Amino acid sequence: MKKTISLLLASMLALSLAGCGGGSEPEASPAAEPPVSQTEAPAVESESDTAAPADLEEVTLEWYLAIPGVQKDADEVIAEASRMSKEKINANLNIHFMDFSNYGQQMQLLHSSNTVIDLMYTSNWTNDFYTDVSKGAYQELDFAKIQELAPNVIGGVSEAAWKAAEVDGKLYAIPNTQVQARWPSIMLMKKYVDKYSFDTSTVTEIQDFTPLFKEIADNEAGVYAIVMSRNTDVLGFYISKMGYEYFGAQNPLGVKLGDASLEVVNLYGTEAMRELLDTLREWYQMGAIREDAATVTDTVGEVANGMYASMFGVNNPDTLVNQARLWSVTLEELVMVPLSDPFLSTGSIVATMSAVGQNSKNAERVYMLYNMLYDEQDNSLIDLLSFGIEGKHYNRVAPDLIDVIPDSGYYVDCGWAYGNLFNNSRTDPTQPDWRPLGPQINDTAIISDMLGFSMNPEPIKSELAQISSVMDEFVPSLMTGSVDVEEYLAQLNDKLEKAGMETVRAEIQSQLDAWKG
Amino acid sequence: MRRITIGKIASHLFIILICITIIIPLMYIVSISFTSDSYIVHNGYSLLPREFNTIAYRQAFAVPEMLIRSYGVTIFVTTAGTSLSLSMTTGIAYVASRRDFRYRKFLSVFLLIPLLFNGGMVSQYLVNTQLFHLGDTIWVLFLPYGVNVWYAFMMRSFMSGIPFELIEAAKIDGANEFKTFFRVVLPLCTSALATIGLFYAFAYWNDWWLAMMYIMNQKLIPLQYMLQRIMQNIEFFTRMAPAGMATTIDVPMESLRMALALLAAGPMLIVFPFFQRYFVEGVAVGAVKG
Repeated sequence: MKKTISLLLASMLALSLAGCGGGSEPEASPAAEPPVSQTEAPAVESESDTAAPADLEEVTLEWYLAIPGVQKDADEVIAEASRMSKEKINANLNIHFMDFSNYGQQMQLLHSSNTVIDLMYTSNWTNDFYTDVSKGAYQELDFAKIQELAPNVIGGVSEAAWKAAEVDGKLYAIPNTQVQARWPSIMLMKKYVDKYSFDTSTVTEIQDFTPLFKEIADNEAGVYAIVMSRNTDVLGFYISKMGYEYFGAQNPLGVKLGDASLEVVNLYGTEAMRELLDTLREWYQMGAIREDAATVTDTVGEVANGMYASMFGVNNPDTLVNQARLWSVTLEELVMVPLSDPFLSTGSIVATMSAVGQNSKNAERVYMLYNMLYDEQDNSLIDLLSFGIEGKHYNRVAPDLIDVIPDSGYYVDCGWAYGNLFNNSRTDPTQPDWRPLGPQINDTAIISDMLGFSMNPEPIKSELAQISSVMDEFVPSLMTGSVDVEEYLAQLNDKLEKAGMETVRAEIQSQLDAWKG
Repeated sequence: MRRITIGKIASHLFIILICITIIIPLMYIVSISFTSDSYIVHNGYSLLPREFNTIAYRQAFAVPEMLIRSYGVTIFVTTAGTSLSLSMTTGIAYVASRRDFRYRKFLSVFLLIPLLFNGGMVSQYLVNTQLFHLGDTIWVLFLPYGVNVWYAFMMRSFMSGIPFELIEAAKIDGANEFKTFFRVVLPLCTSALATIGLFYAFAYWNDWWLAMMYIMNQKLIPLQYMLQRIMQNIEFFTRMAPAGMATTIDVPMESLRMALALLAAGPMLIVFPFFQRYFVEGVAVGAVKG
């Protein structure tokens, strides 16, 4: 908790003064420094496995990047990153850090004003990839050039991921690498597992948790068995376990896994959905889910204060470490119970990518920069962006382990926003190594039959908007078990019908059929 | 001895009710800001703080540079913006209110157009950043809000109430147009100036939209935007973290959020009563004697 408080302050409140000096530094340097770079460049040539810096004209890359909160020492870190990339690829970096909260909005304005953007974060949840591609905001990337200039990227990005970054067969982004597959799991507080001698090894379905949740609901005053709020994306975690995949949380349609014909069906009419909803309803009725779950949005404080016994989550190598901090417990006090195999869909790859702006002239240099960010041997650049400057913002404990200095003015830790997360050092000795676990999860995941398909919402825009508002009305109460399943599921389906679900289904089906070819 | 009628009791009760609905949420905010988070989680909110814990305020001021700077930005934007808006608004309104101004109708229609139509966000952005190069500067935080046409119309109708004879009298006494405006008309408008000035001041004080659109430089973040982004980041976090997007953003606790809200609203709560004096005074000033 103390750490939380202090880090919060560092990140949220401490930014301003340090913010003043540095912004202009990287911009000012191109004019001042060329002679230096000419002399320095040959020295590092031998290290670099790509083109020699001496042959490269000096450029400045305008990089727009979303990070959480405000970092006091951001300018120092940017200057250092710029120095590193200048040394290796003769490219200054002018990194524009923005908040996740306004990134999408500001990027739209930058696109519309034709600002030169050499590199930017893109995803399906902020600065939307498909919208921008259809607007022509990104330039097509040259895969052959990436192979030539960025061998590390080719080695790091899984083959499946490249497919997701394509639109109509053209590549528009470099996928950032993290655990992309979703591994549906439920995380439990170990003390309840032990207390009620619950055998996690026998769990295959979520129904298996019901006896445990009943015990908790009956015997633990002030503790809810599972975190559930309006924002809890149950399907996001659970859908592949149900044997389906979907087109997004606001879309009721989906496709059965392993169905080669890719038939689009209404998920809310399936047996699997009915089973899930019945289970959630049962949990709600026995008091495992809080009564006001359908309206509550923020559970962070309650989680930290031990008001819950479990939650839906994904089983990544770092999940327990991160969650342990949020739950104010040690890693040993949590246990993860996977429900099915990891599943890799287009969405989970598109969620973290980087694109090159349509008016950038430096695409090749961006590939080279990405080569640095994907470098397994030398992770200094990505560690710098994640954790700041060694000795000032963190101390190195082991080659792949660091100790973050709290309140020191820089702590971003979003490796998935700028390269290969697996190259980041670990921040906690109890955290498992990223390799081979991380790549393994991605490689062994069940791969979506629709990988690479992206729905074009344009022809069915108004229907989708109506459907989305129907979903908003019914789904939170259904998914939290707050209402009678029979009655409300029928109402939901009825309203979906009226909102034009059949039109949407037919349109998506025809798009899918065309994509399948 | 005043007579107490049912009507009077009813109207008082009604106003008391309205006051309560305004005061109670405020009391909750104060109470929560002085309560520790674990206490809130276990015991729920209470109207009066059942414990007195200043940890939230100590946290808010632990690294005060940003808070102080944001205050500075907001105060500057509010004062500069309000003075600019007031002078421009009164200027336009005065001209539009003069009966002897030939293009008065045209001016009114001209003002009316942006009230009904606007170019939309993107064109505004383009004009402000590409044409005026205001992006990421302090000026962009108040220049785009220069004149609120509604207020200009309000001011105009107020000024139309000033008898034209007064202006003529000033003219006969030898005052030029500027003197007439500053010495005769404006002093008669204090109540309107105070009211509209307060509206403007609130608008500037509470604005985070312009900052969100145009500001990337961290030292130009106004107070309200600082709060806004804290809340936005929390929302981002609660949606993303369970999905395994490893991020370690730290979430301010409930009490800190409330403390920040109070710190942001506080100055306006203090300023308002001073303005209120002018509201009452202003009403009397408007009276005219022939």
